[in-house]
Order: sequence, then structure tokens, then C-alpha cells
Amino acid sequence: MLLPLAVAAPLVAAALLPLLGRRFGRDVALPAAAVLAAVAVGLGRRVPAVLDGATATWTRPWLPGTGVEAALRLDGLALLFALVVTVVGVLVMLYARWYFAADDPAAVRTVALLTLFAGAMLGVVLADDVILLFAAWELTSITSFFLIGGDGTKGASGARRALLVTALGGLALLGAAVLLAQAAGTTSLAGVLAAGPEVRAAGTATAAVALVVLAAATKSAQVPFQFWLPGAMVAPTPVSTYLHAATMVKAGVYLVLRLAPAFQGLAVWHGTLVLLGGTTAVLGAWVAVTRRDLKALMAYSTVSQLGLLVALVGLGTPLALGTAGLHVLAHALFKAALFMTVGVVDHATGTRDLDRLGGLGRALPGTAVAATLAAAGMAGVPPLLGFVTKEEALAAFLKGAGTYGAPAWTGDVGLALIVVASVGTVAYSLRFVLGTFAGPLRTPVHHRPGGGLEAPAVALAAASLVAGVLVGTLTPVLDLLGRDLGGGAPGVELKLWHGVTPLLLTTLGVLAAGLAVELGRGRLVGVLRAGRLPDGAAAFDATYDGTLRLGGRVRAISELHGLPAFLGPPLVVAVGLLLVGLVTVAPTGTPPDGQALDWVLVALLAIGVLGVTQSRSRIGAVAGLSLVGFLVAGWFVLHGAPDLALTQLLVEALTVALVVVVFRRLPDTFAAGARLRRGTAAAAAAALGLGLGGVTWLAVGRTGRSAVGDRYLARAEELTGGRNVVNTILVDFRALDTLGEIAVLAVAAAGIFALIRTPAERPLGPPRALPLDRGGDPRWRGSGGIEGPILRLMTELVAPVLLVVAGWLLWRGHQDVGGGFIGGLAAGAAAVLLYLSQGHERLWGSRWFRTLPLTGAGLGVALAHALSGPLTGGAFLPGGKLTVLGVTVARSLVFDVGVFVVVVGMVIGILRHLGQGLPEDEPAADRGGPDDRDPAGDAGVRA
Amino acid sequence: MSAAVVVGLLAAGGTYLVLQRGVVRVALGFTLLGHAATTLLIAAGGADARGVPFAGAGPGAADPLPQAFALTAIVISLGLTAFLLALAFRSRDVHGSDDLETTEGER
Repeated sequence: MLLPLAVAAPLVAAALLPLLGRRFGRDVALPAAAVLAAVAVGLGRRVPAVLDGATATWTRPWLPGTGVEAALRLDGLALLFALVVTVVGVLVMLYARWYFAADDPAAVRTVALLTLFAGAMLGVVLADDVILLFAAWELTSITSFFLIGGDGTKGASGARRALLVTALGGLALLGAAVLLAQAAGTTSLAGVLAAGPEVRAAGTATAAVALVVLAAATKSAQVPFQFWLPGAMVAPTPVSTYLHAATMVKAGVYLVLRLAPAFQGLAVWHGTLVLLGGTTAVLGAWVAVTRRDLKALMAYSTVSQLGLLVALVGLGTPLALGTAGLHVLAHALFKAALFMTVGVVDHATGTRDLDRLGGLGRALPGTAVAATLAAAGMAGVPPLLGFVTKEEALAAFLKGAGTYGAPAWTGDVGLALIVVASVGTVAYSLRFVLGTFAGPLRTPVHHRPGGGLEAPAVALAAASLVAGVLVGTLTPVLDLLGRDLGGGAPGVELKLWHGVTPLLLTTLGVLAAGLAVELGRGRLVGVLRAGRLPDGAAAFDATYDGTLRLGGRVRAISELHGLPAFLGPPLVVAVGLLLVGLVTVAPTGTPPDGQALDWVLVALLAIGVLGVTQSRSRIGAVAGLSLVGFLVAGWFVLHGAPDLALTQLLVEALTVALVVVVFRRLPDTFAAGARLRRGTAAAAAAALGLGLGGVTWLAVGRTGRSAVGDRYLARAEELTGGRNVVNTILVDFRALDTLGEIAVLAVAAAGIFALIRTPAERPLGPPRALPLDRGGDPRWRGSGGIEGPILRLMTELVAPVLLVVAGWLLWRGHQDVGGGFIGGLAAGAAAVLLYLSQGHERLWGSRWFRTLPLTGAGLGVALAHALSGPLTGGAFLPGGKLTVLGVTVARSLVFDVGVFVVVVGMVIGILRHLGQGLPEDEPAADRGGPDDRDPAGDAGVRA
Repeated sequence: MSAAVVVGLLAAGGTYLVLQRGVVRVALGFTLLGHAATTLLIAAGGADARGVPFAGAGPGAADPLPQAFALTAIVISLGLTAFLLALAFRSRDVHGSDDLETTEGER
């Protein structure tokens, strides 16, 4: 259970933290740190077993039809990454606690998202199924988008670039997952790795390599996608530290490390990665040399280090792969520390510009020590861990590809690129330390950081030092990774002093060259800046804007003026299809007989339809519409559909109430249409009506009951215990449809809420009382009520009865006419009565009558019913019976209760948001005139 | 035959209204089109068997499947009408009229 808990705990915590945030603000970082620490301890206890070669797995079926499983697996590589994610996560959370101001609203949001991100990242490294890996990978991209974007004010373009680039990689990963699963015959990651020969022999091997490399290159900011990472630096420092230094950008490295065994021996795999990584390492390092903004310097430094890691994976020898794993650890330690110290400097002085910084060593001694140690590790200075891993990386390239499958040239080319990059690394590391902490003080410290802000970086730097001194203890890790990923132990003892070897001389040469570069920086930077590389971000933005412009042009071509112009073409197509149907359909079977009573209804219906269409007054049109609605209900009665008839009657009553409510804000008469329009509309109406009627006559209802209908009628009672077959279809047989339908209702309610309450440019104020004398009509009272003793008495008597009836209809629905929809509508009718007699304030003021909570609760109940099946080992949307307190009911009654509540919520939403009266200072609608209310008035946004 | 006439009448009325100006009339039109769709669904069950479709109702029972489809369709069309009317309401608030064509150019 350790594995699912490790992934689930941060995800659950992320959901709960915002609730705590209201009370505790930035202090929620502490429980977040505690959760990650607990996961770290749990995983850490597995270290001895994993070093002995044990793995832990956990598997549950996820998509049984496709063989995709929710499978997790803990081996050496996964454990290494998981520990980096959790341990650095703990320190980042602590740092965040002191980084944010006490009243900073971004604090809770950032901490919760960081926790969510930690869960996603643990999912990436623990996933043992390529589809699950993809899902977790995408979750990290999305979380990262929100973390970079912040509240959307300044991070938007950086977040957009990061999202689109990493989403491109996500698609590539999905493609790669499909190809790998096809070749290996399983989506299990362990299965794919075990099927290495098949994967390499498949015709799609090169395509799979290309897709995996694309996914890794976008996520880990390799050339030419490196631009998104510096752009992401608008995020707060805790975010940059965690995502863009220590963890997320390592996901690409993790991917290529994880898949290295599957592709080992493919020249295209090794060659591409070495060139890609080496180029990125050189480019990142030398761009970093030219940066003045410390955060940009660190961002390009990260790009460079990721390039080194990718190149190591490309070389593919056990030593290279094992060293890559250890360098992930080393880089996480020193780069997280460096980002944190940059954040401290920024916090203390208000600037990150090297031209304005200097001499801070005395003012910020703790940070200076941490930064110096961490930068020394980055540059590869003994005795830090970074020195050992950098030296082993050089050693791996010096030894070359050997017999492990990479082309022979990769060793030398890789070595050359890495040496050039390392010289740059030394130079900018020196520049960072000297420029910030040495020399004369330029910008004084005006805001002293708290100890909590400085401590995490010190801890990380100290860990970097201790791990370097005791580096021998990491040899088993190197061996394990080499065996797991490269197919053999590297046969290297990790230690600080190997004697005077070519390797040591190379390291010393790199350090000396770096120092020389730093000393000659003035001239060099000019040269480097002159040879500017094409700007990836600009190219991205040009593509992005061009795509939007293209869309705009297409829209301009296709945009028609006015609704009828939009509806015209579909109507023409519909009429055309109907004509084809009329000509080609050969009627089969016998046409159903009508009944005499049918024709009475038809005659009345014709009058009703004429009334709706021809009336120029709104009240007349509503009267016609009601007539039509009641006649349709009668039609249902004649056709043996009492449930439908009852639903239709209730909907009709609500529609009339709704239309009347809205009409109060609209002029009383319709604008007259032009003669041409009326003629065209009438012609279209006649064509469609005749066509649809004709096709109905020729093709519909001639074959009797459907086979499915027969089966439901015969077996409904036996299978569901319900006698009302229509209701059993709604809540049992086709409950999934119903779930979708109540979701639509909830969306409609939310849409009404959003339309009326939230547009920022013109929010509608809270309701105010209408003047009693509205247009001389004393019946309009308050902001909604209609005065009248009879109505009031009726309401007091009828509304409670209606509610009881509604409950009764809900209860009996499975057996007899009724159900959630009908009951909900009846309860809604009670609310309408209440509204009409007591006014809008009655509904507005009550905490029970609120749109989003009601519809949300209803959906929640329905979903809980749906999920109760799988949780108790049954099907989604289960059937069967429940016995509560001795009363046995159909289990689907719970679902019907959800339906009931959603319908009530929708009706309440209509009344709340459409049913308010006119504000006092607004001219009455039927008098016309411009609407010049002050939009900045007391805007009330309430659900 | 009667079912065909009902469907045709409702569809024609609905079509006429959705081609008018003003969101309110369009909303009324959609309501009529909704009626046309539900009556068409019911017609698909056959107009000869008109018994109430309860378990054990025998051969005269109507087809329950179209009824179930139609029931949810009715409720959803209420939601759609409400949403369209909210648009009309908002349109009047922002543009001073619910007439889509006269307000188009003001944006």
C-alpha cells in the first residue's frame, strides 16, 4: 500500500489545503511539508531493500478492456527520483512558508498547486504503465501552467509557452506510448522494457525513438525548445526552485533514463541524445555566461545541466547511466539551493541584476556560504558531490561507448561538447558568487530575510557537501542504476581522490579555463552577444500569433450577420435531406391508425401554433405557447405516456412563469419583422413542416414496439424491482444517459448564473425593491411579488402540500407515475409559488435556495451513487436494493434523489437570477430609453 | 396520420419563430421545435399500442424507450429555454434590446 499512498497523499492534501488556507494562510505550507516528509520517510525506509535488488509493485485494473492498468512500481531509479521529489519538496514548502508575505493571497494557491504537482510527479516516476505515465506527465504540465501563470497578470505569456511546448511533448509521449505498447504487446512499462528486442526490431522503432526524444526534449528544455524554461522564471521562487530546477524539468531525463534499456543499441537513439544533449549543454552554459539577471542565469544553467544529463543517457554505458542518475541528485541539491539563494537576494535587495549587486557576503553570511558551496558543486569543485558526478561524467565520455551499443564517435564528440560546456559552467558559477557576494556593496539589504528563508538553502548546500565527502556510500546506487539501466555494473569506486590521472588533469584544465573566461569576461560577452542565436521565444510567439490571425481570417470569411443567417444553411440542408427521404423512402408495414380524439387535439394545436407565431404582443405569444404545451401533454396522455404528460404540464407551468419573469425586463411588444423576412420564414417553415410531417408519415411508427422496448417491458420488474418501465430506463437501464442529462441541466443553471451575475464589465447589482407604482399597476409589488390575498393564502396552503406531493412523486417513481424529474419539477413549482407571492427577496435571502450548491449537491449525490458500485465491487451506476431501517427500496432511488435536487436547483437558479425586479434607478422597460445605470454599483455575486 | 400532422405543425411553427428577430421569439421557437422532437419520438413508438408501459401491461402497452428519451428531452428543453431567456435578459441589459441584429454592430 506504500506506493498508492505515496501518490495519493499529496493529491488528497492538495484538495484539502485550500480549505485550511482560509484560516491559516501561508502556514498551510507546514502541513504540506509534513505530508511530503511522511512520504519521503515511507519511501526512504525502502532504500536498503531496493539496494538489494528488491522491487515493490501495486496494480489495479483501470481500463480492463484495453489491458491498461493503474500499476505502480518502485525500483532504484524510481526511488531515487521519488526521494528527490519529496525531500526537495519538503524544503521548498518550508522556504515558501517564509517566502510569501503573511497576507499574500498567492501563498495558499501556490502551496496547494505545488503539493498537487508533487503527487503528479510521484505518479510519473512510479508509474509502471505507459498510459498512466502519460496521464501523470500531462498533469505535471497542467499544474506547471497554473503555477507559472499565477493569477494571470504577468505570467500569462510565459505560462502559455511552457504549456504549449510541453503539451506538444505530451502528445509525442502518447504517440510513443502507443507505438511501444504495440511493439511489446503490453502497456506495462516493465513489460515494454522486458520486450526490448521486439521494440528495437519493430518497424516503428525509429518513430518511437523520435517521439520519446521529442517528449523528453520539450519537457527538459533541450534545443530548440529551451526557450520556455527562462520564460517560466516569472513564477515565484519556490515554484522555479521546485519545478524548473529540481523536479519537473527532470521528467524528460527520467523518461530517457527509464526507456534506455529498451532502446539500447539503436544508433539513432544514442547519436541523437548525445548530439542533442551536448549542444544544449554548450548553448545553455554560454548563454548563461552572458546573463545579468540571476534567475535567467540559473535558468540557462539548468538548461545546460539537463543537456549534460541527456548526453550521458545517450552514451548509454552503465557508468554513464549510473552517473546520470547520481548527477540528477547532485543537480537537485545544488540548483535548488542556488535558486533559493537567488530568491533570498532578490527578497533582501529588491534586485537580481548582477550589475547592481555585490558585496552581500557580509550582510547575508548564511546565504553567501550556501550559495558558494552550491555554486562550487555546480562548477565541479572538490569535495562536493557535483565534483564527483561531473568527474565521473567526464570519465564516462573518456572511456567511450565501448561495447554497449552506442556509435564509437559519441564518446569523443560528447567529451568535446561537455568540456566546452563545463568551462562555461565554471565561468558563470564564479560570476554568480563573486558578482553577488564579493566586492563593494552596491545595493544594500533593506529587507532582512528571516532564518526560515535562509535555512533550506543552507541545508541543501550542506547535504551537497556531506554527500561529496561521503561519496563512497553512493557506490551501491551507481552499481544498481548501472545494472538496471545499462546491463552491467560500472565497476567504479566513487571517491574524491583517484590520484593524478588524465581525468583529474581534465578537471583542473576545465577549472582553469573557466577562471580565465571569467577574468576575460568583458571582451568575451561582447563577442558572444554579437553572435546571437535565433530567439526561440520570438519564433514561438510568431507562430502562435500567426495561427490566431489565420483563425481570425477564417472566421471573417465564415462569419454571417445575424442569427437567421446562421440558421439558414442548416435549415436548407434539413429540408433537402427530408426531400430526399420523401422521394426515396419506400413505406413498409402499415401506417398506424389515428383515433378520433387525436384530430380534436390537432385542430386546437393549429390554433395554438398560429397564436404563438402571429401574436405581436408577448403575453399573447405566451398564451399561445401554453396552449400548445398543454395540448402536447394531452397528446402524451392519449399515447399512453402519463409520465411524459405530467412532466410536460409541470415544465409548461414553469416555462410560463419563466417567460413572464423575463418579460418584465423586456418591452411588451415584438419588433415588427420586414415583410420579406416574414415571407422567407413562412416559406422555410412550410417546407420544413411539410417535409418532416411527410417523412413522419412515411417512415415512423409502422413496425410496432422496438425489440429493446419489448425486453424492458418483459424484464424490468424482475431485473430492477420497478414496475414503471420508463422510470427504470431512466435510473437503471440507461442511467448513464440520465447522468449526462442532469449534468447538462447543471451546466445550464451555472450558465444562467454566469451570464447574469459575473460579467465584470456590467455585473447586475443585488436586487432592490421595485417602486410600488410601476407604470400605474399596483399589482407589481416588491421586486417580484404579486400582491393578492388569495395568492398569498394559496401559497401558504398549497406550497407545503406541493412539497409533500413532490416527495411522494419521487418516492413512488420506480413503481408508478413519478420519479426524480417529475418530483423535482413539482418542488420547483412550489418555489415559483413562493416567489410569486412573497417576492424575490424571499428566495434571494434564503441560504437554502442557492443555485450552484443545489445543483452541485444533486450531481454529487448522483455521482456518489454511481461510484458506490465500483467501491463495493459492483458496476458503475449499480442496481439492486437497499434496506435502511427495515424499509427496502431500490438502490437507484438515491440516484433519483440526485436528479430531483438538480432539477430543483435549476428552477431555483432561474428564479434567483432571472426573477429579480428592476432596480429603482432603472427606467421601466416598456418606457424604453437608454440604460445608464452605474455599472460599478454595488455588484453582488452570489451563487 | 395525426402524428405526422402534429409533428409537421410544430416543426413549421418552430422554424418560423427561430427565423425572427429577437431572442425571446427564438426561444419560443426552440420550445416548439422541442415539442416537435418529442412528439416525433413518441410517434416512433407506434400510435397503435397506447397502453401505459408498466410491467405486465401486456401487448397493448406503448413502447417505453421513446418515452424515456422524450422525458429527459422535455426537461432539458426547459433548461435550454431558460438559458436562451437569460441571454435575452443579459442582451437587453448590455445592449438595451434583445434584438440580435441591431445590437451586433455595437460590440
